[in-house]
Amino acid sequence: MTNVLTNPNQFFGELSARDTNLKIPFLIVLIAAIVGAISSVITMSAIVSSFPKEAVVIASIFAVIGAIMGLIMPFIGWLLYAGVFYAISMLFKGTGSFKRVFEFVGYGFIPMIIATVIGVAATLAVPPTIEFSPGTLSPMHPLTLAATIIQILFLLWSANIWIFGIKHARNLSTKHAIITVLGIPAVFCLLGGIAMIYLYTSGI
Amino acid sequence: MNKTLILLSIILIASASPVHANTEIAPTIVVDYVVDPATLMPGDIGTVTIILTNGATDEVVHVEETRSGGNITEMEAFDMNAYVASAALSGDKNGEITVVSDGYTSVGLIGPSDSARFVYEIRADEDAPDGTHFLRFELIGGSNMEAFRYRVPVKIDSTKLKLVASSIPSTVVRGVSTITLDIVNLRSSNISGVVVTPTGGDLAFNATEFYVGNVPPKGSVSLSINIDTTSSTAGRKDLTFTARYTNGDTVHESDLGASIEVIDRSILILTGIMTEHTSPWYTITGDVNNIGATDLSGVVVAIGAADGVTPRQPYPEYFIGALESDDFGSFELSVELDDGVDSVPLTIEYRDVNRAYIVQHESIDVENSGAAVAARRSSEGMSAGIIVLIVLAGILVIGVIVYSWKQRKEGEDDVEEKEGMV
Repeated sequence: MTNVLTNPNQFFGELSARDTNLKIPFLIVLIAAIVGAISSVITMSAIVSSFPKEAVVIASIFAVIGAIMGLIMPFIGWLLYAGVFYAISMLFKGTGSFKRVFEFVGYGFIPMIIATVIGVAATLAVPPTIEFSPGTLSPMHPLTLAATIIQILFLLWSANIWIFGIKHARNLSTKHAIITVLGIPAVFCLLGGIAMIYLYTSGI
Repeated sequence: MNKTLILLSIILIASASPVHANTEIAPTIVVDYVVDPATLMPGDIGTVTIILTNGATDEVVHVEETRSGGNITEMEAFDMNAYVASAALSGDKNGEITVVSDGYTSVGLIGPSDSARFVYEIRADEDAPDGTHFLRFELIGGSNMEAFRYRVPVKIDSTKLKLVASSIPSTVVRGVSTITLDIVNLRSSNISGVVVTPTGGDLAFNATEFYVGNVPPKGSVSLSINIDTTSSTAGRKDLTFTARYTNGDTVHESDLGASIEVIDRSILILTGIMTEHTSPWYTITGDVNNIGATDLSGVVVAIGAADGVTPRQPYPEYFIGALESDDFGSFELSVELDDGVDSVPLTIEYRDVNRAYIVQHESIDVENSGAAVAARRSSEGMSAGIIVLIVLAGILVIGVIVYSWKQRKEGEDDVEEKEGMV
């Protein structure tokens, strides 16, 4: 099982020889969802504590909604990732089933569980201060920034797992698998960067 | 002291009625006296004024005789002018009150309904005992005016003006405190020109001298004095109140000693200080509490001057206004702090009960104030830890990714080898 983290190529190669089994991927995503929901509750509780008493009820409602969303979002993300990867891999004439892609993408959520735990720890460490400063940008707290960087690193880890997962699920070459997994985020990053530069130069 | 109207002398020698030829009529003299001050203290100088009034209404009194047959015959005419040869006042028999002035000689006539005033300066001995002392007035007349002596009572009372501390706090904080003195006159005569002078180490008072004026006999006057200990050092301070007053023309003094403990605490204290990093500046909030016994006005809290500390809008300073005793006022300040600045100087300006402008300096430790503590501690104390954490996470993830790709390459080489062997 540790091969999925350290040697995903071999792991998915061996798994391709077996029948599709969604139990383990579902369990992984469920753990990610539970950790995500707990993270949402802790984060919202920390924020609610700094609210005035009048706003506590409304904030508590948002906390409950956040917890429910934290529980659902990993499953939606699982489906979306699998769907996008499946659709893009069609460009490279991939042959595997969507069910197999769905199964392999689920394994990619293991690093995300660790990343979420780190995010919760950072939330607990940072004091819940809500800053309202019109016309100014609030600098991110160093610990929050560190947690974000680490979460991005773990997302890369997930992407690495997905690359080999898609490669074996859709019988793609390694190059096509990389484009499938990283292509879309790369395009989004490029568009986002262009947008940021445009906003900065136009003075908005 | 205006005393005793005495019908001194109606010297009327009448042998029989009806009136005879041996009838003798002399002027009627009324003696009055005034002692100033009414009661002397030992060592005092005063005056005794003797007032002689001729009680006659006419200059000449005619004595007539009615003879048988109804004829009236004037027998004799009497001059009603009172002739005074000399008038002298001498001290009491024990010599405790001496008369400084010389006696009057060759005074002359006091006409009918006229008065003559004889003023003598007297001095009470420093050791004169309390009580009533009698001076002797001696008048020598002439013509039909008989000589006479008269005793003038003069009181000596050594009781001094008394200062009573009716309200002096034993312990005060740095600020303005009010004390109350009662200036009590236990004497039976008025005391005038009372001026109280407070003194006491590094204490300041709202005036250097306090004019009280007259204190009536057996009465008192209350005096409030504000003590300013804002610039005083902590510790016990001795206070002395000196009352200068006059009894007659003689100046006397009375003292009152007291002490107060000045504790090393300002009249205004800060509580509930919170420093939040509301970008781009810091926002300092808190309460100013007046723990003093007097009301303050014009209270303004401001960011003090210091390197790396820049007051910013919207609240470089905050106006609280009036701050009553045992009350508090909230404030909010905006400040920009350079890196490495751990404390923010604050100035609290106000006017005390004397309307004196006072500035109190305080310092807020940004490290130890409310929300800023956790924020700063996490941002500064964890900076090294954060970097190590990121580096470790990066090494872990990149290492795993590199390892997985290396495993993939080895796996593909194995496959190629197997395919080649086949």
